[in-house]
Amino acid sequence: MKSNNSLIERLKQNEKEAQTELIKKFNSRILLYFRLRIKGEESYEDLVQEVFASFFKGVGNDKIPEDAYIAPFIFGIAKRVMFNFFYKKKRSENIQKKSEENFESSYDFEEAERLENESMNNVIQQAMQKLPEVDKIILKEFYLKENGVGDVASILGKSRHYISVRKERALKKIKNEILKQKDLYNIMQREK
Amino acid sequence: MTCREFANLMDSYLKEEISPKKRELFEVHYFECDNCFADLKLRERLYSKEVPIVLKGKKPFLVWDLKPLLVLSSFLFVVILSLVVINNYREAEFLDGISNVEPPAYMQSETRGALQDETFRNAMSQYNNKQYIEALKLLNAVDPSSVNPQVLFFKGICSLQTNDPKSAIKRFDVIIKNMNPSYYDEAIFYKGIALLRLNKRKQALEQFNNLASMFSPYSERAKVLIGKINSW
Repeated sequence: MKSNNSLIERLKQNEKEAQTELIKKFNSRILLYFRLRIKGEESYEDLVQEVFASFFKGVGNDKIPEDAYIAPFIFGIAKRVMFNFFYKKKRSENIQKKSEENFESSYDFEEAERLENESMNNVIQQAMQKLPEVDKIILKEFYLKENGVGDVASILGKSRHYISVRKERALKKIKNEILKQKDLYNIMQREK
Repeated sequence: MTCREFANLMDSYLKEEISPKKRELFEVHYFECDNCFADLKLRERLYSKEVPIVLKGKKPFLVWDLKPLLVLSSFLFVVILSLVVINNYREAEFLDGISNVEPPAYMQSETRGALQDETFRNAMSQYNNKQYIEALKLLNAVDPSSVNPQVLFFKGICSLQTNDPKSAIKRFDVIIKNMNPSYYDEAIFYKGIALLRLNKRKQALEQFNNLASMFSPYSERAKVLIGKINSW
């Protein structure tokens, strides 16, 4: 993986690999943001495309001085796109216009996320099998049945603290398993 | 927002229970922090319910698992308790039935420790007429200090007939303790009867066994009662 220090420079030089790297890194975050902020949409593809289009336009206009500004800049754009969605009724026209102007991508954002999620689900499932049964029960009660910590504590006859600690430890174990395969999951990239 | 603050809000964010003020700070943080987004993404995957959590092998002990066991044991407890209560009731009824013996009649010709007292005669007249409360009152007047074995014995019988077996036992015990031959055998027999009325089966059996081993006019009656008690 190339260093993020040179990402802006590489983007300015229209390096395709740098664009893909950036999209992979922020695609999931933007989709999660839109899904939780804008409900009931069948697809968020256009919105994500608008975010990246705006971002690459900003890069071209030298609005982003260094790599540290990338994340806040993208977040700012995502927020603006969301407001546009709510306040402007001619959403599809605007997106189309911006996309044509700034960014042309064959990247299927939602499909990419779906594949990424699928791979991650498999790793989580495998990691889950290595956990003690009590940890699996805690995660099942908490995430699948959406019980609160207090409820899970009552079911298992343990304290809330015990449940919270075991839950966090179990999640950490799963995360470590995912990080072992970080080449597969760009989303989990982190600098050492 | 710090990573620690972020960690505490992840579940609230995904459940959309986070306050609007914190929400934006939270979102800014996960756009910037790869490590925190990794944690958030993991939780998001779990909340998506696309990852089945299969439990296998030995199930850990859950308090919840005790519920059917508790219900069953409570049910069994109630059943056993009911059986014990019913059995005790039936046994009490049975013992009460056995103890239902006629009180000894007072004969004017009785000479054992007899008192030739007008009040005593009146008392025994009431006794023979089955007026036990009146008889007891008069007997108390005749011998307030309870030393005469004849008076003591009939007081005991009166107590027994007026559903006061405890007082009867106390009176019979005085006779038994003093080993007064006049009413010794009778006192043991009717003490046994009084104990049956109190459902004290073992203690009653002791009295009757004692009597059965003696050369006494009450031995045969005691044996009959032992047989009846043991038939339960």
